[in-house]
Amino acid sequence: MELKEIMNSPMLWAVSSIMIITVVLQALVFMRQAFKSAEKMGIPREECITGMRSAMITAIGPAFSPVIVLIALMAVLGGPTAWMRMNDIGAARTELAMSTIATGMVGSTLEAGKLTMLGFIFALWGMALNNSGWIVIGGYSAPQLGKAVGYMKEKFDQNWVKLVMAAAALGLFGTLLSNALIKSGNIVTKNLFAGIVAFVAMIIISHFFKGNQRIQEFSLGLAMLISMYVSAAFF
Amino acid sequence: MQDNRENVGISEFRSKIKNLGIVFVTFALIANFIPAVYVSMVTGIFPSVGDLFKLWLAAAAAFGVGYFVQPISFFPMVNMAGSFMVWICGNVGELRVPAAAMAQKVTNCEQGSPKAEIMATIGIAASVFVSVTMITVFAIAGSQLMPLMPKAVLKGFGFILPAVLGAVYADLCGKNFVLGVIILISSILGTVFFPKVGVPGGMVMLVNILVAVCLARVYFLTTKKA
Repeated sequence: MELKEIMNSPMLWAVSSIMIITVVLQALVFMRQAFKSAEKMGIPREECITGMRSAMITAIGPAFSPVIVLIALMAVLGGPTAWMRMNDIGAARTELAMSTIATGMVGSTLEAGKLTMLGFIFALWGMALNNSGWIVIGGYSAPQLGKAVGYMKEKFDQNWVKLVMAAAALGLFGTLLSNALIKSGNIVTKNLFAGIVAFVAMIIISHFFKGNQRIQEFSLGLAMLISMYVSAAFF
Repeated sequence: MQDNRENVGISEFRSKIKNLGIVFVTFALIANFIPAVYVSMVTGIFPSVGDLFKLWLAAAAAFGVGYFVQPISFFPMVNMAGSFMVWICGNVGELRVPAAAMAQKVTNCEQGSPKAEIMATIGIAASVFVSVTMITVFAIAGSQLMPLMPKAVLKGFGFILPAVLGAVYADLCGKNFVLGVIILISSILGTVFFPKVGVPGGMVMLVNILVAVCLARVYFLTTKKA
């Protein structure tokens, strides 16, 4: 079979969908369990629905990020593989880097039209091996990490633990934000501008519309949109 | 009374999720390899064990630090149930955590409370439905849809990452605004300069987090006195 045929074959769509079915099924089962437990804990159902709605609205904007890479990845690795890999673990640039390394090992390249069958097979195995790092360590260690956090909360000063967790979260997202602002050691002005606009917009929305529940549900999406289009207008 | 009910509920939730989580992680691990195995079987080309080892080594060298650092760093925000989901479905920082944070925010959760844990789970699961739907629609119709989007809309897409992360950061700052700004400056400086003094790429995040915790300690002590 030719590479082009197999890359977009119905069977490859089918076998790639197993991961996506797993992801969706897991979300359904966990969501159901959360609603059930919420009821037992005395959290009103309406609150759960409000939280769910807000999360869904918030997710729309950031989900365009994998969508854009999906379009690019489809051209080189075919529809099914791009679809599966954008829906599972491994950031867009991680999947791109890994498939570049893997195809390079057999003297192939990711450029459309130049990828060989061997290159494609190595890319598939490479991405699978790489992603299993997170699945195994992130997934199977979850209960142990839960215990460790519980232990920390019991043994140390509550305020201090809260502050450590807040600081770790800030350091983590500070780094993620920095990675979006800095390219090869230099700050990209237009991205810095976008980051600052989003930051300020979020603070304004959170403070000045504090009482407005509806606006709060939209706040992150709204701040993001404002930043994206103010920046697009300026640069 | 209320507190007790919450604690009983959350421990039951955790023990159920723990069993379910292990099952789904195992499924995902198998599903992760199925397409590679399928294509190798159809074509008869299996990479040798040596090649697979080389591939794994290349992956671990490039991303291995992330396998450990990321699950630990994100844990307080996503909890156990969230960890089971996000290390399978990905897009943790820019999509899952913002969704979880918003679900907690609109329901006025106290950070670290049982209710916050439930809401994070609901938020992350809800974000999965949205992202899978969108990615699937574009995977099927994408190549036709994208050119139809107005140029101005496409231009804005270039700013998705700084926009979402800037907004999330503002939200995280919350009550500790001054500390937030200090840590942001230290993170930016760290991201620029640590690689120049030989800190490997994968470790920059870890070092930045450690610096952030040290800064928080100093901040904690100075504000306590005042």
